[in-house]
Amino acid sequence: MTTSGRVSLVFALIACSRLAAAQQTAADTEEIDDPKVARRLGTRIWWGTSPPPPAPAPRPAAVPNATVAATASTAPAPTAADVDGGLPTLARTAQPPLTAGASEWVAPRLKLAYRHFNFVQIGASSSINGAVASEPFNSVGIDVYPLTSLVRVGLSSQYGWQSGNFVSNGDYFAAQSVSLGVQYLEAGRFVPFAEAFGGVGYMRRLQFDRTVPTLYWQLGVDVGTEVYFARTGYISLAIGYLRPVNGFARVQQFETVFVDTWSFKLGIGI
Amino acid sequence: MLTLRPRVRACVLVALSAAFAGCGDIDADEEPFVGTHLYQEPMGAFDLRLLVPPWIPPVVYAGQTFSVVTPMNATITTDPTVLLSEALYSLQVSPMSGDPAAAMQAIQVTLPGTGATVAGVSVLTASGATGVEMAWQEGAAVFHRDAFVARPGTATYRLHFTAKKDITDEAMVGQMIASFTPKK
Repeated sequence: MTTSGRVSLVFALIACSRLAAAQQTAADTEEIDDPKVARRLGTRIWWGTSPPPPAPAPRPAAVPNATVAATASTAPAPTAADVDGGLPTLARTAQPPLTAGASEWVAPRLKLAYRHFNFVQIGASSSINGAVASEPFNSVGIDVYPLTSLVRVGLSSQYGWQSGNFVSNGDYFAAQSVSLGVQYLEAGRFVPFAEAFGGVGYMRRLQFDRTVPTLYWQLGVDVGTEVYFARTGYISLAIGYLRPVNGFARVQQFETVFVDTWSFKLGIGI
Repeated sequence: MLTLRPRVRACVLVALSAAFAGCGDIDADEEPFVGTHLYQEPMGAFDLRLLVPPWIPPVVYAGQTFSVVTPMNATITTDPTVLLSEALYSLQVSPMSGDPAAAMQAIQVTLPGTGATVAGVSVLTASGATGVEMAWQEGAAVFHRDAFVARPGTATYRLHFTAKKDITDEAMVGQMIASFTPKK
């Protein structure tokens, strides 16, 4: 082939390539969807021609307000990371629609509670056979639930006093308890629960007008229900078995006395 | 067969021991005079139950057995007169002649002022001893309660309580009277 022939062939190839570029289909101008493939192939180079204008962005599908508008928050504006080549790729975050029922009520986290139970007045008797006198106690406490789901773990700080004598003229105690229980949160407004608890503390015994410091501890089980009156508010009702134990010095011995009794607990919480 | 390492076994034993001890030793619904100390007169004349503390263990002085509940600022002394004068509560047990009613009558006629505020209440103790008791006021802050009890074949004993407030219906004093057991 002569030199002039070779030059003619080159010009013919260039013309063919330009003609082929002008006839590219729409499929050739589409962006690569798969990010792995896009990284592997790199940026597309348009040899001898300018890239085609981007296709108009498809409008995001309309979201029916009736399913999410009442419960889902408005999607935030797309950030720079959500935009690819000027096209928003993330219109809104997906949120499952909330259903009425268990999710409406926030699980118990805090409770102010009152408890009533009967203990004994050590050293007192009103019968000739020496049966120890009963001693009703009232107590108030703050219950906190650091873990609250199907299983709940609680911490309770409690102050109790001999019924009718708040501080100055009777027995009282202060105790810290730990509870472990289960609750059924799917039941809606009524959340039944059962929990076991144990705690220790200090008990002041007033015997013959002298303060006698003693130890106090308790073991018990409560069964009851939280009744929600608001999303984060409930009242609590429970009955339970309680074993209060009083440990004290008798001459030079340490002695512990207990009773088995029922208790009633009423509370309000969030 | 389940085998445990020695340390784990020790921890399990300690936990079980703590759990059992934590349940308490004495069921107050089952045992009478729970938490009290049984005092037995050295010569075996009588038994008595009382809380120690706050009562100090009874001592015998000049033929009388006595015990006191001292105040927080009590004088440290062995003088019974000082102890009795400062005590919040005191108990003196002494033998009397005659039956309980006669013994009470003998004391009643010597009382100052208007005499007994409550007199002639019958007493029955857990041991089966019977008697009578009375309450009276000696001064503005000096109150007494006296029980006279005896059993068949024993002497009559006077339990003389003194306090700084009215103890006529004091359940803790009542328990001490109910626990009294004359033996000689």
